[in-house]
Amino acid sequence: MSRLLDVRGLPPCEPLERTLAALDELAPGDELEVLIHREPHPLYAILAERGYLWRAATEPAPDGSTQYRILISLAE
Amino acid sequence: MQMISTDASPPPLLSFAYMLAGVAGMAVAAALLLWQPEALLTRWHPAALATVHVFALGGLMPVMLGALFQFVPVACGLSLPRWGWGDVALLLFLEGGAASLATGFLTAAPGLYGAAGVLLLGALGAAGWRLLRALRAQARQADVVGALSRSAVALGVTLLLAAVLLGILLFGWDLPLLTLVDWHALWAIGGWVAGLITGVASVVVPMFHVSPAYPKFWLRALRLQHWLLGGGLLAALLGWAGAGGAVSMLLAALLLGFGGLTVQRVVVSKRGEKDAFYWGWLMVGVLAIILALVAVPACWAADPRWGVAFGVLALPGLGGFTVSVMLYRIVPFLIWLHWQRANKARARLPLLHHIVPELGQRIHLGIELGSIVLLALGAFMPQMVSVAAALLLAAKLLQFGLLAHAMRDFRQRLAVLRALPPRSRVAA
Repeated sequence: MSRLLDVRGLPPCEPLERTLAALDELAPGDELEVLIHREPHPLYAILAERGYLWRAATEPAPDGSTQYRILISLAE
Repeated sequence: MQMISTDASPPPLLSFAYMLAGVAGMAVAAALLLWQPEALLTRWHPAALATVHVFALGGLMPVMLGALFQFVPVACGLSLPRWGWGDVALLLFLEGGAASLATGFLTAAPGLYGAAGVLLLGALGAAGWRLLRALRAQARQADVVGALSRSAVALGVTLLLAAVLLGILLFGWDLPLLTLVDWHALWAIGGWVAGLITGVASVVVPMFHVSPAYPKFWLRALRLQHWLLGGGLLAALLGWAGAGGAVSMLLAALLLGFGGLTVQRVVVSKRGEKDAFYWGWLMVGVLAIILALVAVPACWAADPRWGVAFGVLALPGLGGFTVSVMLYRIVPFLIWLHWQRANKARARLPLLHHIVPELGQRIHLGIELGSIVLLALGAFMPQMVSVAAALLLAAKLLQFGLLAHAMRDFRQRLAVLRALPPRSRVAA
C-alpha cells in the first residue's frame, strides 16, 4: 500500500513531525511518498539511523520553485 | 540526492557552548561600555576599539561559528568536519584573543597585540578555511552555499587586513593606517557580517515565516557585494580617496533592499503567529533600513558622531540583534531535532515554541532593542550611554539565562530519551 503525505508550505518542524508520525504507521511492504517544498537533509539522517530505504527526486513546483518527492519504505 | 549525517559535524553541545560563550562575550562588551561610557565620544577612543573587538570577536563570532556548525549540515546538506578538542581550543583561542586585543587597546601594550594576533589569526584562519573547504564540496552551489562561501572569503580578507594593521602597530610598517582601518571595518561588517546575515536570512526567513523566497535578481545582486569591496579596496590602495564612500553607498543600497524585502516577507508570513520571532525579524528589516539611511551622513557629513551612530547600529544593532533573534529559532530547532533523532521510543516531545519561553524572548528582545536605540542616540547625547550599556548588559544576561536553561533541559531529556526502549514497528 502506498500513501501520499503532502507537507508543502508547512513551517519547521511540522513536515518532519508529520513524516515521522506517518512512518510509525508504515508496515513492511508499504511505501510512504512525501511531497515537500525543500530538501529535508535532517530527515535523511533519521531515515538512515532507523533503517528505512528511500529515494528522492526533484520536480518543478506549481510556483516555479523546486519540490522534492521522497519515497520511503522499510528495509527488508 | 546527498545524504549527510550531522554526526560528522561538531555535536550540538559544542555549538551551544560557542553560542553561550558568544552571548557572554557580548555581555562583557556591554559591561566595558558601562565602565567607560566615554568610549562613544569617538571611534578612536581606546575603550571604543576594545568594546568593538570584544563584541565582534568574543561575542558575535563564536555565536556565528557555533550556529554554522549545525546550519551547514541541516540547511546545506554539507558537513563541517569535527576537530574534537581542536574545536574547544578554537573557542578558547577566540575568546583569549579577543580579551588580549581589548586589553592591548586599553593599555597600549605591544605584547598583547602580538598575542592577540597569533590567537585570533590562527583560530579564525583555521575556522574560515574549514568552512570554505566544506562549502566547496558542493559541485553545483545552492544560493545559500554561495553566500556562505563569499562570507568566508570576506572573513579571510578581514583577517589579512587585520594582520597588516598589526604589522603597522608592532613593527611600524609605513602604510596608510586610517585607510586600512576603514577597509578592515568595511570587509568585516559589509562582507563577513552582512554577507552571513543576508545569506542565512535567504533560507531562514522564507522557511520559518512560510513566506515567498527572496527574488532571484536579489540573490544575484548580493554577489556584487564582494566585487564592490574588492574593487574599492584596490582603488583605495591606488590612491582614490573617494573609494570608501562610493562603495559604502552601494553597499547601503543593497542593505536597503535587504531591509525592504525582509519586512515584506515577514508581513506576508502565512504562519499567522505574531510572536517574538515575527516582531524580531520585522525589527531586523527595519534596523537594516535605518542603518542604510544612516550610512549617508556617516560617509558624507562632517560631524563624526554620525560615524559612531552608524557603528552602533551596525554592530550591536543589525549584527547583535539579528543574532539574538536567530538564536531563539536555531537553539529550539536544534534541541527539538536532536531530541527527535534520539526519540526511537516515539515519546511525546515539547513543541518547538515552548522550548524557550515566549514571554522571556519578548522581554529580552524588547530590552535589547531599547538599548540599541539609546546607544545610537548616545553618539549625540553622551549622558545616555551608561543607561544604554546597562540595558544591553541586562538583555544579554537575560538571554544567557534563557538559553542556558533550554540547553540544560536538552541534556536532561536527551538522557531520558536514549534510555527508553525503541517503539516496535507495525506488523504487516
